Amino acid sequence: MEPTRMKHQPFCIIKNLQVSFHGRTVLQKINLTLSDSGIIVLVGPSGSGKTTFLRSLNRLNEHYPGYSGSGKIELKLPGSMQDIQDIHSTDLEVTELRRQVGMVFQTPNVLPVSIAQNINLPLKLVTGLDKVEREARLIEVLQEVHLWDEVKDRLKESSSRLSGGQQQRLCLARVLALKPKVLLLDEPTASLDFKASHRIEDLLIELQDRYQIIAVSHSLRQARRIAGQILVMKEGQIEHLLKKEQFEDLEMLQKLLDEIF
Amino acid sequence: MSKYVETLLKYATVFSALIVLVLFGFLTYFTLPLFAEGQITELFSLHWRPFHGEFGILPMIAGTLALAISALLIAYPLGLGICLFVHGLGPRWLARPILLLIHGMTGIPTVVYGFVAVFLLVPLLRNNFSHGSGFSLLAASLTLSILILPTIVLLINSQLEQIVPKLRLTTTALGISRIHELTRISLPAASYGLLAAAILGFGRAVGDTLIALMVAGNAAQIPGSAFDSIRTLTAHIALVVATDSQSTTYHSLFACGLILFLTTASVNLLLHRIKHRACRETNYE
Repeated sequence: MEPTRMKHQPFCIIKNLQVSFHGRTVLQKINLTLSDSGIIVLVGPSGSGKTTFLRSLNRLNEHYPGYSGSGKIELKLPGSMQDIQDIHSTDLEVTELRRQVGMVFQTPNVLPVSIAQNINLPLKLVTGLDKVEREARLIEVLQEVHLWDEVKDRLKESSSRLSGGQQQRLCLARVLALKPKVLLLDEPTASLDFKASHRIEDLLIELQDRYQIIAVSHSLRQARRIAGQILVMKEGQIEHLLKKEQFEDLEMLQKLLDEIF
Repeated sequence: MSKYVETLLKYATVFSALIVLVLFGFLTYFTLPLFAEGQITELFSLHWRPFHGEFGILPMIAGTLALAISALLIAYPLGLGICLFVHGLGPRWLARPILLLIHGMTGIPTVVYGFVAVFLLVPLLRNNFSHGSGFSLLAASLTLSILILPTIVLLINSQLEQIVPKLRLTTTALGISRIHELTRISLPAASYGLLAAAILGFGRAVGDTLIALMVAGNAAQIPGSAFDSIRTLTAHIALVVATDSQSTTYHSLFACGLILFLTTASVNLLLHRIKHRACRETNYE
């Protein structure tokens, strides 16, 4: 298990972040310092740039055609603050950055292999751990996401036979197995029913002491339940960074958001 | 209206199936005299000397297999490489032109490949290797591999097109390199396409007539090296039909036809089985 991190320390400093696709600006001049005070939840209307913001942190935007970006993002990764945008940096390869900044998507995206292989294969390809270590890591992360008891007798079955909620927890386990420092979650419960969503939320609350979590959410109820800070986005900009005390009162939060949107 | 269409389609299906059955019956009927006259052992002998009463088609079977397998051995890795290049190993802007080129290749008449090979490849082999006339197994398999390349590329590509886009974002986000993603995750997931491409490529190579006829040299012998001249079953039929239409020689052609027919039928049945299995597995998931 990861040791509990230092609280209230800045872990992400963003300067003049600008992202556009095919010349259309999606994020404009974002300047922001995020400190480590629990789960950070991004809220905002559709098209406000939440997902693009999230993808800036593991440089996944570059994967999409027509991307162009500028600015600087520093993330606290083992050692010190590191400039993740510096593509010429030899210290931090982009694949290594993505290992350390893990991401879980809106719909569960299991690999077309068995349950065990979903965790084993990326682990083998990315970290090169040997079989014994991989087996141990597999059990550890499946227990961490409370999936072990449900799948321990059918690890060799196809992962697509799991339910949506189980698949999403498997995706989370797959990311956790790579020992990330930061977890990016892009509406991780959007495709799940109420019960499965609740389960993932509980899990995130449990994990927040071990990983810095940044999640996009469409649900204000969910944001209030799990967030330590809420980041409100509008038209590609950060409108507000709300502390816990500012959103504990639902009426106040609703009023604030109504004013913003 | 839809009822008429349905009836029309039904008749078309029955008609197509009947043609295949009639073809099979026809080939079997004309092959039967060989069995009756006890010439079947002669048929499977090593010598094709019709004027000496020897009608062995084994050299042609060997020639066909040697050509089809060698063409597949050249075209398959090449096709697989092209697919991997197009799906991420090469630059993105090159993918489309390459696929367009491969698509375009399917429209080129076989005779053009044969013609170019006769005037370019055969002299090249003749001048650079002091072995024979250049009309050889090697010349034919190189030419045939170009002919079956689009079949292989397009089949594997169609599978990868369904698999890769779904996986790419996931694997990229996990920090898995492109080459690892393709070789360790996408290709295993595309095993149906990989196998189907090999089987169909082989089927196409066995069935081709013109390349073998124009480039392989047509000597009815078991090939000892890549520079030897060979004769395939298809070329054999074309050659004999052009010169003879009587006698046992003529009957032996039906045996060749029957072998080709059964090979093609097996290829298709095998493909159907694999597809069926792949579908069943997908439904399971």
